[in-house]
Amino acid sequence: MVDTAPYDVGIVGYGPAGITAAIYAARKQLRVVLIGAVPGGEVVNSGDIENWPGGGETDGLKLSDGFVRHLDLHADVVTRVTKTVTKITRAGQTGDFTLYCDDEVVYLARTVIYAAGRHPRELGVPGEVEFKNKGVSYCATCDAPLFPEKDVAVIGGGNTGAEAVIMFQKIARRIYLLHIDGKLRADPILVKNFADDPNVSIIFNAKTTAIKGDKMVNALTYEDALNRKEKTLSVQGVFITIGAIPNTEPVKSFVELDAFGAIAADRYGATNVPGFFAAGDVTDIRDAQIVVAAGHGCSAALSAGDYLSRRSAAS
Amino acid sequence: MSKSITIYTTQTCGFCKAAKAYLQEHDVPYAEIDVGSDQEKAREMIEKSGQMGVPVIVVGDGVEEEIIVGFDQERLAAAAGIA
Repeated sequence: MVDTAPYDVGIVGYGPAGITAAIYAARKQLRVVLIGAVPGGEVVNSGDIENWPGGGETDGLKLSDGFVRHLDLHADVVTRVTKTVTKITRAGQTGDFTLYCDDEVVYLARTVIYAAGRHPRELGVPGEVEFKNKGVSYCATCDAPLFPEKDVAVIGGGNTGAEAVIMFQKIARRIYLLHIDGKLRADPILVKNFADDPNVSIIFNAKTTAIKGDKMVNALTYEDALNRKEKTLSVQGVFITIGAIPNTEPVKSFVELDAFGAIAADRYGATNVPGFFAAGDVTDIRDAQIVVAAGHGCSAALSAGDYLSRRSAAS
Repeated sequence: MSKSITIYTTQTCGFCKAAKAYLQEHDVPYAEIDVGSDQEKAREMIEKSGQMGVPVIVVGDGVEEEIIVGFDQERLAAAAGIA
């Protein structure tokens, strides 16, 4: 099925960048289709959020609820679609874009704001795929409540890992935080929460080598990078928080990416393709933060609006 | 005969919320079990689905149960008879 009337703006991504872009585009009275699998995007899985101005101590569910409800004000011009975009093509050098969804429904748009975010990076060790959801998880916020009084390993000492440890402090019995080198990357204000907790062991220079189990996970092995010795931890849960990879599959054939696979976009959301804008965590913007993604989404929408007015003035 | 739908969730799981919103949107009634606060039910969910990820959605007609792991909108629509 093809929804034939082309939209002014096709927004891909239902997170803070996409939703903010939709609000700004709607205020310019542009016709918008916003497509994304989960309303609110990754924000819904973010747990406690304490750095959204005006939000105080809020959480991902409340904040994303507010984002999505805000779109109700613009229901006249914003069509919302809860699906995944699998492919985008463009007709010629300046032509319109065609957005293909997972169920083969197709939308046409004069401009695209691509704000599809990132997905968790995998470790690539034996057992990881086999035990996914059988003790292996990439989302502590989602799955931590299933590990009461269990022993768990968190892999990766960045902010996401530190937040996972903090969540487990209230739930799990023993928590191991494995980090690849000698210093955690997480903000000190987060690490302070568990630095002196006797139930939390921080293991530095630990290279995870395998995840083992029977039906479910029961152990993890790692190599101590300093002495090359392999060690085993008895754990029922392994939470992997080693960064994220931009979701560029639908567009990477025609949009320029940087060395890390992120879309090269400027501060206004412009890419190397006229009419194709990108915003938030899918781009090479430095800070993967909700407030930054929202701001970038705003700029991308204003850029798309400019592009459309210049194009209609020219024709 | 109408089907019964049970969703095993945790309070913090985004896809659980998305699945519930989807059913509400289509006026499909369901029962929710929070496995974060009920260990007995958590074990039941793991036994039924063979895994620990939420949501697990069980669609039953009194004879057979279809078990859907994750928010698979297409499968859920087919199982729950959502057009």
